[in-house]
Amino acid sequence: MASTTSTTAPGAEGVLQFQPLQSTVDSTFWMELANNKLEKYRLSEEPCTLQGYYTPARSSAVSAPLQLTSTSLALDGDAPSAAPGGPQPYIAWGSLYNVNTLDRFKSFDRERIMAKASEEIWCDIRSGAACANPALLNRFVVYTFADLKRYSFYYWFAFPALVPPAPMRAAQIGSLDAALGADLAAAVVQASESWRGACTDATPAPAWLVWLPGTNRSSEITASPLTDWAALQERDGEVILAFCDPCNLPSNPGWPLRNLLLLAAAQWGSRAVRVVCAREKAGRLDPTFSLMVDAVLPEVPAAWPAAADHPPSQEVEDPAAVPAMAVPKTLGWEVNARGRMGPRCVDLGPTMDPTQLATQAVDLNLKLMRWRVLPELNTEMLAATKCLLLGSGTLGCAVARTLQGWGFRHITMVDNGKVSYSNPVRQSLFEFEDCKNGGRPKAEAAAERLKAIFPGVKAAGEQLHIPMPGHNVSPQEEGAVMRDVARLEELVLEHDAVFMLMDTRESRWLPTVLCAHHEKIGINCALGFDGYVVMRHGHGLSKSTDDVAEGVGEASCSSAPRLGCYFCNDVVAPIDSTRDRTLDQQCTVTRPGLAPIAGALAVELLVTLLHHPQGDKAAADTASSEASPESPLGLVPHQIRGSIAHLNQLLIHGPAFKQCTACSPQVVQEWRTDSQRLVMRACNEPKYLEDLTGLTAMHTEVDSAMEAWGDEDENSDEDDF
Amino acid sequence: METDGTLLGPSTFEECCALFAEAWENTNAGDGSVWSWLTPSRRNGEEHLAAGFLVLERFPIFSSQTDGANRDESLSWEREQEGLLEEYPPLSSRTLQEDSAVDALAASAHDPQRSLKFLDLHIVYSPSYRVPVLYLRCYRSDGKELSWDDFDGILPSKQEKKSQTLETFMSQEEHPHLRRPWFAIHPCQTAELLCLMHQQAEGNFTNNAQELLSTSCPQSSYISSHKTAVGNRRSTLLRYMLGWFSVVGAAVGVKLPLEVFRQI
Repeated sequence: MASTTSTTAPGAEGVLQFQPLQSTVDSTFWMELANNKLEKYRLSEEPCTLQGYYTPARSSAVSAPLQLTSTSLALDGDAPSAAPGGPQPYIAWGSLYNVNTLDRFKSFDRERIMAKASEEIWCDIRSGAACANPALLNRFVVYTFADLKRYSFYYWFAFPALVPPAPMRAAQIGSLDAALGADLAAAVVQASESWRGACTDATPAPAWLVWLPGTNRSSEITASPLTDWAALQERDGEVILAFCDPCNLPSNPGWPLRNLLLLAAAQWGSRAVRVVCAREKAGRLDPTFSLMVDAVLPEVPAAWPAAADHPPSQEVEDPAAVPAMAVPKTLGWEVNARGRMGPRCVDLGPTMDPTQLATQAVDLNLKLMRWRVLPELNTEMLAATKCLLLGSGTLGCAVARTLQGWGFRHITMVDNGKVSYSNPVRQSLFEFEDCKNGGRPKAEAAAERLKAIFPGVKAAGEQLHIPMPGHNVSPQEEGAVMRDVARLEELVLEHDAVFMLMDTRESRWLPTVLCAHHEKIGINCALGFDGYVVMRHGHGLSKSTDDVAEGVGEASCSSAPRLGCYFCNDVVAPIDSTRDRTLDQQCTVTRPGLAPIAGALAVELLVTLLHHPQGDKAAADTASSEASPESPLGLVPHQIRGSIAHLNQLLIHGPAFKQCTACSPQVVQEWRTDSQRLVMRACNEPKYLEDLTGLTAMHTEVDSAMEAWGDEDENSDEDDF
Repeated sequence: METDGTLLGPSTFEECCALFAEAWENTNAGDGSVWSWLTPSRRNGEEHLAAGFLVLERFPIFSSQTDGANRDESLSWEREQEGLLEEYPPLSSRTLQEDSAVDALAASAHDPQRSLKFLDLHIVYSPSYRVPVLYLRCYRSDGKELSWDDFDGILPSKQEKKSQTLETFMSQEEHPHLRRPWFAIHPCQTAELLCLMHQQAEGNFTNNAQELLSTSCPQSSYISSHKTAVGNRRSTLLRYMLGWFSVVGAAVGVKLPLEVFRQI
């Protein structure tokens, strides 16, 4: 036997090999299935009827698949719904079994559904129903599991083909016009097309007969339905079987021919039949592309298959399910994408998940910027840069929104306040509802709103009080304060850039120390009534090198001097600036347009800085660097000071101050030695930081110098100082 | 007149599409794939759109690369799931082991159908630019649409010319009729391009193409100056469409056969 089952060119009596049908599922089908699952089927696993579409092969490069689209499930209407573009396709009826869990899918009894379909097909062949409606031969089954949380779908198709008692063979196989001659082939095609054109059924029959007149060639070639087989045998001539062939291969017919040939053998008792495998070019049946197969069929006795071939099922749930007659063996499960027996899996998250759609759209928008304007733009780097926003008020909201615009994906909001009724009009992440019942914690509300705006962002909110120099801490409070300090340090460590956006000066002190210690990028933003400062802190102090030499402003070697921090211009330590103010002074009294301007500048400064080859060690650009900035996005200044009253903006730079109360090596060193001692003394002892950094000594020196100078010129007015 | 003094009016667009689809079908340009005219019901605020758009569905393309499984997380996840599920329960004697069937063609590992993808092409009228715009999407046989990165490897313009990057001519836009994001070939240079082609065809082509591209084409010069006779009009509109598609189609790997230009 083995010698006759050669797979190559089916020569004389070679086994006829059929190309399996291939499924293809439009994404609209999966969307429809997902909808139906949620709204119609819910937990039901009852099978439902499907309408699959296929066409004759139209391209010599690929076979025509069996296609499911959104209309495949919509069978409520009586007429088959409009099928995908092009000429009317043929319809195959299928059964869909959708199960509820992946475990059910794995253990699904696929033999049962295959057996059911093949029994139906065999009954229709034996009863003659398939002759009247050949589409019944092309039944298929598919079982699915729709994972709607992941937008992924598992599925396995089977195109049941009943296995005949012995393989079908081909005496001859070749193109239609080669087999019949061009004229006859054209006439066969012509007859088939006009028969199909005259067919008024909504679903054209996928198989038909073509009658070639015999000796009396004067009669015309005609096409007719399969039910005419017996009548046509009476006439003088030859009856040819024709079917819509989805296969594109030059020497194999497609899968639908299998059951059709079995019908010919079982119902008509044919032992040999000529078959036209009808294929199309340019929308017409094509005699060169179509095949002619001289098929040799096995004998199919009336009693085949014997009931003994069919072992009774061990677990008969329903006696009615036992087939009334024995059914032939069946094959037809489709292989997966790796060519192996198994189900397929498709993840449609990128097409169906709104969050993924938004993420793609946001990314694409930024990529457009890269493609059109800025080839150097590194959006991946921005997306990976983690930003810590200390303060979730007007500035915090403005900075967070602009970060989102740039595609930053990690944003942590910190604040210790609650949303108050005056906030939403200025603070773009809050709404009226957030103010009710005492107000929601600002950081949490802001983070939640960031996610509502764009679910692709990893936003977190953290309610935290930042200890401030000059704000006394009692011994009882010390534990809680140090826990806040520890948490703040953790947060700084977890992030790459720290924005200082609070409404007091002294609350920026500890974050500045932490940035210097952990070498994080510090961006500071502060508002006056109509002016603003946006600045980046000088780079942090490396733990490995000797701090003192490197830490100070004077250029130690070739590199640019380390830049100053927010406190470097001060000769006094930060103190409690709220203590002696009236209530109205404690509120942020600032022109409403300022925060959006300054917040946006702060983010733009960070983005430009991140693109600078030296990063946070970049030397301060000034207006005169404009000709050739090193960052592809432009200037990386140290400080931007602007006034909205004068509508001007200045780029300022200043080196780190060696007696700075926040970023100087003495302070950082003290943090590294004993952070608790540093924080507690800074909070409770007004002069501590000035003593530590040597500012006190400097003041004394200055005072004595002044005194000496004053002695020389007694007429001067001391109030000038 | 439908051209209302500019390059292309909505109804002239429809006429152009009909001529183009006919020429395509006459010459079997799509190896069996044909264009059809789709007329979705117009919603409020869509009066400026053309009545429909031209659709070519499931145009098969083959990519040399398999699937980009290394880059695509979603894809490798799918393959992993499939691998886990291959341990299917054994079949009884009544259902044959498929691999042992002598009369079914086994799917071979190098089956070209596996690297097969499908393109859907839509030719949509752009009311802002008054030119046709090509919208497209590409998907696998299981319905999964290709992402931007996957697209990148498939299109010929990317494979052949390294200098020409996908993003210089393509972007993701909302499909005006379907209201879903689709890939689109930028319409911004279309008018200038056609203007240039036309002048070349007329023999007025100057060597300084750059200059032509930078100066805007005088309004209506292309079509309204040619609305002399009916036959002339037909060939003008068809030449317009074929000229346009020969450029945008080639960009996505759909080439027009030479015979189609004989239809002009």
